Amino acid sequence: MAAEEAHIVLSMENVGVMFDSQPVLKGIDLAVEEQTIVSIIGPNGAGKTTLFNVICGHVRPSVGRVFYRGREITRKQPHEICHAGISRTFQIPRPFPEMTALENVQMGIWFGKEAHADRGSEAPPTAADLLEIAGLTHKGQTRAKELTLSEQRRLEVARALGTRPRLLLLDEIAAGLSPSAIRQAVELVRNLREHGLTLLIIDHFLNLTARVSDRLIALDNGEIIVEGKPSEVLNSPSVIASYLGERSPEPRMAETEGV
Amino acid sequence: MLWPLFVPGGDLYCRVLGWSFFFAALALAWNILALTGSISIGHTAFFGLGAYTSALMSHYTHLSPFICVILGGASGMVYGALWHFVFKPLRGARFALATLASVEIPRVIVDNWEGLTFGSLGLVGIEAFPGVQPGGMDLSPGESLKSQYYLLLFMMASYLLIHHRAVRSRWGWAMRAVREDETAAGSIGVPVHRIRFCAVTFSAALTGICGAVYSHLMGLIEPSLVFSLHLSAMPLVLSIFGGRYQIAGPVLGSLILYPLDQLFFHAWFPSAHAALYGLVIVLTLIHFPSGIGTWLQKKLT
Amino acid sequence: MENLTVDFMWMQLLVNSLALGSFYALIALGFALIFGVTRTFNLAHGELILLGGYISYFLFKGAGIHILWTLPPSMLALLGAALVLHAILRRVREPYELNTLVVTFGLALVLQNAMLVIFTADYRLIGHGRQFFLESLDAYVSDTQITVFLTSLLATLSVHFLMRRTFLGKALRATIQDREAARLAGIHVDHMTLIAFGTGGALIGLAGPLYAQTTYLHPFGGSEPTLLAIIVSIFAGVGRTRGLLLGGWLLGTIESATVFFLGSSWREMVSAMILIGLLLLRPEGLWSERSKPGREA
Repeated sequence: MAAEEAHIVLSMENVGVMFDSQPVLKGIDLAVEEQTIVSIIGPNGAGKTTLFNVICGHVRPSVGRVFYRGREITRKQPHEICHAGISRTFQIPRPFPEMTALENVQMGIWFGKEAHADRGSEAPPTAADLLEIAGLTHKGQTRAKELTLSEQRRLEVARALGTRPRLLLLDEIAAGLSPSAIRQAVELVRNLREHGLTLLIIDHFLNLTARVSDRLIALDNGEIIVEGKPSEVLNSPSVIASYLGERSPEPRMAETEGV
Repeated sequence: MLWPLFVPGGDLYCRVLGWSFFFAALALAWNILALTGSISIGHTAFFGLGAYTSALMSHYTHLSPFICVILGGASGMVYGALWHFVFKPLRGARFALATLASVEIPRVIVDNWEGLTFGSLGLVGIEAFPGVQPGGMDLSPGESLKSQYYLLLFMMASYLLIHHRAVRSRWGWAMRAVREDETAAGSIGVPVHRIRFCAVTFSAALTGICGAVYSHLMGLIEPSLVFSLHLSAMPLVLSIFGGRYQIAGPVLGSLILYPLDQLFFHAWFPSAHAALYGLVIVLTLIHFPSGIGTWLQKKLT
Repeated sequence: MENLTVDFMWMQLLVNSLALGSFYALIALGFALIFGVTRTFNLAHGELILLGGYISYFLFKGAGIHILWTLPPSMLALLGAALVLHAILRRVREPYELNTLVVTFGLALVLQNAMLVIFTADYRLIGHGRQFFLESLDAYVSDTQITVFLTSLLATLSVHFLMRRTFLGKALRATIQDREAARLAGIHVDHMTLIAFGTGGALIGLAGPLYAQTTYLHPFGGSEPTLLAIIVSIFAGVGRTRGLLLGGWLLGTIESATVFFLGSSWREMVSAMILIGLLLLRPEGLWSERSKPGREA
């Protein structure tokens, strides 16, 4: 591999997914650089979550290959991908419902990446630390199913961080959150990058993505239509046509609904 | 637990309590699979395979029953592994249905392969366990009820230990994660397939051993006896009734229900006493799905 | 000469398969309707059929009522039984499908033992009826086979027309496709559930007496018709009534061929393997809108 590719964390080559002979993703090529924040935008059904599922091994692509730090991970099982250093959250939060918040985070620490030699002698985070980062210290003994949506989302981030990822995939982190909760989320995301993480974010809430992202990728009908700097992508005519044109009220709705 | 030593003549109680230990062991074995969230209604497949493997090995090779029992467990384990690979995409009701159907395959083979298995006539005169002398005691489970009682007590205790490890260890947390949300479990690094594989093969092996022990204690088996709906239902009912997420739940279920069945129901409705188990599972799922233990705890506090 | 016997054998096989298949479709009809509308997994289905069979048997043998006149009382009794089942299953909690499976598994045990007490373990059969040679088909046919064939055809087509041509049928189909959407569209889903149980029960009551004419009744014999009903329903797919006939005929053919070539003792294993195969290969049959593992949206 050439030196210039050394800092590529994640790359996809011509990835395609078919569900019931319907293409959901077509010819996806992308590369994510180390310590950047990349956002994926696009209308509902554009294939954003499927893209995450392919990266994390929950969906097997019909064609194409996925690489993480130069190693192919296309046909790996979800837990192997997690151990390699990729972690994720889900569009609809999926904490373990009967476990307490603390136990949820502890699960990530126990079963995530086991050897983290590349982190040197840095001590692994404790569940209490992670709960504090997520602002859930006072909810440690509450069962996950009793938490609010916003708390469940933050719990999922804490659990994902417990696996000590180098690449974190956040699915709809701001959907259904109040403006103040979104500001917290922005802070959290920026903080994570400061700590050396690379982030891939899906969000409908364009203010968030535009504020924190280094790069935007616009998906529509399973294809990448534009990618580049946030300002370029958001002003691109095809994005406005396919996404903003018919769905401009949506980012505002995200602000008002929810908690 | 040691009272048969001191209470002579309590033969009926000794037998009933001994067999309730046996069914507790069966329920514990079943529960190891249930801990990953998979409900099986076909565990009698492992029971029957274990019983037949052990009995036939003993019949043809005259190996010690203790070795045959291990082989019986191995046969259950192999069939369990087959379940894992064939039923991989099935969950919930579909998985349960497949387990129910899977009983027919070994049963029909045993029924028809008369040259090897003696077909539907069954196998009689299966060698009993030889006497052992642990710590100066003289135990021969083939001859005395008391020895049988201790053998079954020992069996339940070891199963309980395994079950305890399965619930409380890191593996136990992994099984719980798989049960609560399989997709999320995978995403945080729980090796979902390995956990499911281990759970089903372990559960199958332990059930196979139960079947094997049964065949040597009873001395006779036949296909309709060891591949029966009743034997699939027993561990499920005892476990769910007693509380399947608790370490001793299946034991509690067995120690309550089996004596109730044998000492009372059997006397009242000799031919239909097994209806008790059906009735109990219906009431349990409707009124206290997490088991009698948890329910009582809630009622008391 | 030899050729003639071969032809004769195939015609007989065909007639038997068709009769058996129609019988299976009839057995499956009640199960498919109840499952389709309510997502109830009734493992006590076979026991209910046996119950209908016993009612008919005792009316026929004891009171000397003609076999056709035993149908209404059996249907009525099973309608009641299905409503009792509904009353019990209404209290079942999530996950509904799996829990109804376990609850009805328990009910099957209760029914088996209750029938053992009431009807004893004797094998009972109403009788095969007359058997005669039909020149036009070049095969032997029995009264019972004709009755079963006609009843099954009539019942299946009635249900089909009920579902396709009536307003109630439209509401039922809407409920089958999407309970929530049906509720939003103003359909009283709870009524639909009740109607499905009632109609399904009556159909079980219709199958019972014919079962008793075809197969020996034994209190523990219920799991086989249950499995057959599930197989045919999965094959047909939810809400496809005519598919039941097709599925029944196909299964009847496979089973007849199994009995013919391997012997009757292997039949149960073949049905079990068909069921496992269908569960693996046709998940969209019974569970069209269920999430499939590893395939989340």
